Amino acid sequence: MANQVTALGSDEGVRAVYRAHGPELYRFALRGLGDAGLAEEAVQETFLRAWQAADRFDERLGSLRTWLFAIVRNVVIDLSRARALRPRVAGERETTIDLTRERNVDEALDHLVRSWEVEEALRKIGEEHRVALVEVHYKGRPYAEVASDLGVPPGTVKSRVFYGLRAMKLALEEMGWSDGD
Amino acid sequence: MATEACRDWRGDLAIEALGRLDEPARAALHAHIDGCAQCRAALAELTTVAGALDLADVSRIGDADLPLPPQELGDRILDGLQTERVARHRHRTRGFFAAAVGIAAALVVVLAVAVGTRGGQHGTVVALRSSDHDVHATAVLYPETSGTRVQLRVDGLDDREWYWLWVTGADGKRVAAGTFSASSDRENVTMTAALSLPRTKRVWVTDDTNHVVLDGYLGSD
Repeated sequence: MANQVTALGSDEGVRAVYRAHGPELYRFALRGLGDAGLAEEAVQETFLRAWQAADRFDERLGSLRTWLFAIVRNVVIDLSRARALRPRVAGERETTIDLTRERNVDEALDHLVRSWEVEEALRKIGEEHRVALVEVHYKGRPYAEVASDLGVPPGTVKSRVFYGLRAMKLALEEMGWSDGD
Repeated sequence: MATEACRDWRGDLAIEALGRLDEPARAALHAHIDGCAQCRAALAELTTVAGALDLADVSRIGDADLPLPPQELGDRILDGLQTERVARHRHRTRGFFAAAVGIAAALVVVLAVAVGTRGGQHGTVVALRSSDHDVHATAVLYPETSGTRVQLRVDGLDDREWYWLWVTGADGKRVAAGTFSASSDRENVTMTAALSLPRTKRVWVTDDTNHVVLDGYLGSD
């Protein structure tokens, strides 16, 4: 990871970091800002701030991904506040974050980050595990009924839920979550 | 969870973590975990993960809905970093010019260079001058079908004050690109003015009293 940050000094390095993290950062910014143009601006600003502060990155404190997300979180706050201060133009969508209550902004962003990370983790786990979690947890269906629909024994659905949760834990840990989260 | 004897309980532990285990199975599971520290720990771990699931909006996780950034965004990021490098270089050399810079000079000093093509899009870099030595800014202008997109990098403006970004055509008519509120940190503003890039001759910023605080002219075509 340290090599990746050092590589921010070269065009190829920036491209490599962008390929690895750019789409994720964009999706997060889009989720927070609800505006594709602003989301693009947020990603640009994130890379600029990362480039400016590359010498302060310490991989012992967290991954490059975690560092970039800390930056984009602040960028989204800045852009949201700037937008909240100017008149809204016709047809412009409202931000995902409620900025009418200033003191709730940080809390709203934290919630947004965590929600988005759980959704990203759900995307990363295996299809069978995700289906089991969606059917049993989100749809609240009995696992025996789900097993019948899928044509598998009930124990298989329970096993998929188990491994799905374990996979979720690993995916979230990769994003910087710890047991205390 | 590591012992073979506990393997059979894994599924029930997971369903219990989701709060979906039916009562007979639940009673049997708890009879086991009362005497099994490993399964108690496993249940606690799974329950923590299960709790996080409620943060997600499951309707958003379909791959078909996964938004991707435009292909040229990576190139624009590199353009932005190039702009920053230019700004840093000018900042280092500004002492040479500082004595000669005043409000009048700020209106006429021109530093414009064209950067190379990247991703099929030309960016014209314009260094903006200010009578305030603490204010530094660079604009990069891009042609758009609707006019000219101005990517402004500025630092040193008064925190939380409002500013207007303008462009002026060869006929002297000014066109507003928009307003922005400065922050204490370096500001990155992108706005589009309804004036084509070939017709744009000047990029400038005014404060809320209509005083020019930044100014730059494009070189001759």
